[in-house]
Amino acid sequence: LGKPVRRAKLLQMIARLLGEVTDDTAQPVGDGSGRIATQSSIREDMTHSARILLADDNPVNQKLATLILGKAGYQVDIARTGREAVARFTSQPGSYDLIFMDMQMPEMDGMTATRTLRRLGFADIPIVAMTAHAMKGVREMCLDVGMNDYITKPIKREIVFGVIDKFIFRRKFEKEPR
Amino acid sequence: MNWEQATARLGLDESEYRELLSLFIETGTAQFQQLRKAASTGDLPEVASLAHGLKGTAANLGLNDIYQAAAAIEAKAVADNASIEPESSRIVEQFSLIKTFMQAE
Repeated sequence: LGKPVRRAKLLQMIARLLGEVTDDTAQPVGDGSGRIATQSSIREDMTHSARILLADDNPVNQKLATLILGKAGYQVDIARTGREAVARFTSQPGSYDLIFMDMQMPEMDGMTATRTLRRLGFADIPIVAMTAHAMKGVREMCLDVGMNDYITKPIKREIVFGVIDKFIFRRKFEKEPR
Repeated sequence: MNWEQATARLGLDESEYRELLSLFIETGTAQFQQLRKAASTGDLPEVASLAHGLKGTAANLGLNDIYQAAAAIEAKAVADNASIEPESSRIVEQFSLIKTFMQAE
């Protein structure tokens, strides 16, 4: 665990130490202050310290994502183009936990932005594509440029949260097969 | 338009959904004008791109008729067909239906 330790990262580690227990009442761990840390309280803390970068040029989609994620307690920053996403992320790479990347944006599309970030050496930040393409091959296209996963529009709340759970809370990356 | 289904899928309440709809009308109208202009000048990549954007946003908001129409325009543009009718008229109709819905309640 490198320093400075980010709160979300620390909490992730604690959550991992607590194990993959889903029952909130199981294995409570005291932190010495009388406050009981459980899976659910840690999860709540993690939510509030998780920061998501959303790259999408459409104001309706921006507003929609901000509403859904904001209501759930996440902090959301918006980039309107792929170029802006790269600039924002690289200026403060440590402060984001996940990027939702629209595929089609002006100036620089989501695939180019992802490829750029990966080439700059940012291998760990989970990047999840958002696309209106339902066609075959999208998954391969996304994974090829270094995205971790993709979701299709219309976006569904459960699927968005499922992705966040997978990449922020459980931190199980889909590494390329070797 | 089935806003109950859309709000349930998105986990939003009605006032939030209406806010999104009015933003959709505001920004979508301008995008749609651009699409028509691109179609009239035969700029098919631009038509496809704008139709694709409209398709995604309409899908997110559960606006099925606009989604279908935009998807059809995109498919035609990709296949080198510059015609945006009859879908274009359907989109105009839907925009005005949404405006009426917004004013009604």
